[in-house]
Amino acid sequence: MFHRILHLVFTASYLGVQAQQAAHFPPSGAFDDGSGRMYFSGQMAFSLATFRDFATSPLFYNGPGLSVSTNALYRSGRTDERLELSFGIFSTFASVPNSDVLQSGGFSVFNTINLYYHHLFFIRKISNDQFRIKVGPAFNSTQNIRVNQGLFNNALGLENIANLMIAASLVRDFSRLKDKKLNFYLFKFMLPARRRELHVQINSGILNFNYRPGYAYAYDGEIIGTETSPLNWALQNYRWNMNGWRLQTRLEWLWYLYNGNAFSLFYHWDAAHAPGQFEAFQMAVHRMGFSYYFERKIKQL
Amino acid sequence: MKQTFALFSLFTLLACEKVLFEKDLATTDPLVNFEYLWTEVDKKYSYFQLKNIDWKTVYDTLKPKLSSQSTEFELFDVLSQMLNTLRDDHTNLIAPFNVSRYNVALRHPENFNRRTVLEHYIPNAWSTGPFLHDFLADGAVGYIRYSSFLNDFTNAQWDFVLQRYRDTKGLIIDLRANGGGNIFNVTKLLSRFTEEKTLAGYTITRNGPAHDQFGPKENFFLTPSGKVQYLKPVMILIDRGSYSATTFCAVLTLALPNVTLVGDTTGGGGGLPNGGQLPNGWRYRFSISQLLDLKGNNYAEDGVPPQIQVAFDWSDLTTDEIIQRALQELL
Repeated sequence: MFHRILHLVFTASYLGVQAQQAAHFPPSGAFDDGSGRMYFSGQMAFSLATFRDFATSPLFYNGPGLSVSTNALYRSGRTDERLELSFGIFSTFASVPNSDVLQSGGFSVFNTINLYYHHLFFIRKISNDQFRIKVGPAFNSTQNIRVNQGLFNNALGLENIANLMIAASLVRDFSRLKDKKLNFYLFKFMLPARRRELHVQINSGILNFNYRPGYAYAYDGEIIGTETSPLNWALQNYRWNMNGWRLQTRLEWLWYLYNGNAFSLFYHWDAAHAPGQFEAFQMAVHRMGFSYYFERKIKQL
Repeated sequence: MKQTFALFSLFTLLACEKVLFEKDLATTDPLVNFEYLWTEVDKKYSYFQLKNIDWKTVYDTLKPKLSSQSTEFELFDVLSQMLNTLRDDHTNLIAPFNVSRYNVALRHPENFNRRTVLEHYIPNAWSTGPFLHDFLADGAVGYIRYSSFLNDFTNAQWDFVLQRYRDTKGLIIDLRANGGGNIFNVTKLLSRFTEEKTLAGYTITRNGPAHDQFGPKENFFLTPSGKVQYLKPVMILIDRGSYSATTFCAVLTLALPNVTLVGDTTGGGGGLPNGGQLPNGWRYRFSISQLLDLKGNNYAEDGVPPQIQVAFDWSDLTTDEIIQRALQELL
């Protein structure tokens, strides 16, 4: 009984929202070139991380986590600009082979702080009415903070991976230009006209930097009595290197609401290989979640 | 439609990092694990030359004892033997069923009996943070027991303890059987026994594949801090159980003219130990740096000798000869 009531309430709410939106929102049509829109968005994603730091272990650490991010976006027919700050926290476990005696393991708390920016430009020559392609530079800086108590003095793992990337974005317009009626046996639905888009983006690192520990990972650096900063001491032998690679893909399904805001479901993949000077670090993060875009401003072009 | 399909295919391919990363190295194969640990130690261990260890011979001697069919117990036994040739208590193999140790302290006489101290010297001791302390010799001397550098303390606690003994003729700080801990507790402890920033030692860390390849000398300074400075004579009691951070402490005191080491040579442990994991998931650690005194000498790994050598007499458990000798120096 409870489930039936719940179902009816949900259905009624959904139809109400659809009707309201149908009444207020005619689709703007594919790729509105006449304006630039600024958005502020919040994202939340369930994530899966994998990493391996050859300096301390040859084993992969994998585990689930949660990511949140906030974005400032500017989108127009000609450009696409995004500034994103995201945080992720993961519980990762070593992929240890099975033991005949007692199973060993490994646990690491893996935190990431990521700053991302891109500025993409419309490429008219390879776009058409349905596909719109934009290409441009992107910058990505990821600071990892890993804690694995099982590694004694190497328990704290810090690395920064910074990349100047080339980004290519493809937007496919899937707007429903007219209201659509669906007639089921018990219910009749009207799907209102709606602007919808599929965004696919691929980023590839061009200049790949990483900030990694020195030869022995741990380093017995200078100590100035009680004035020593433990963080400076820990980072004394870290160096920037330019090597490795980074790849990212973003897949996002967006649908716009009558008030100009938008809702999306997305999947992001981010993989990096940072050889450093001595031993490599590798990581990959899969994020699947939703975002809500608040339209802040419409700028007529 | 074709374009969309191609796009999704490309996307799926890219999102599979296992294709892009090097292969998974996890394995229980004893030979692979032996090779991995031997190589890691070869690349990073810091005392091969000082201890005159022929690491290649260790490889040649121990590897034939293993085969790909060896059991986990056999592997543990061989890897433990391999690490114990380093004669270093900062070197351990940690399997889920056992931990390998060299046990420096068990190879020498013990010079500390807690019961003797508590019963016959400080039966009404105050406990302030990790410090156990009281007056000795009718209030002329302060005795402070600090059992582990793992136990943190605040500046306020250390101020309080030193303030209590400000009018004494001298202090005894008992670091016997102190197995070490946080190096920053050493600097905090010694910061009250100097009036100025003092260079007290150096460290060097492995930075290349050759066994004698080290990075630059890094200074180890002591600086004054806190509200209470104690510049009267201080006797620091040490023995073979004084290891790691306590050995660091012993070396650094050599730069402080008001501090004297009494007891037996420390256990050593002058290298900073790292940490790592084998392809089968077992963990290990070993020293990757060296501690040098102000003259650049490296003896800390084998222990810092006291300036006044005294042994505990186990035939009489009512007297601590090392405390008695320190008292004699102070009174």
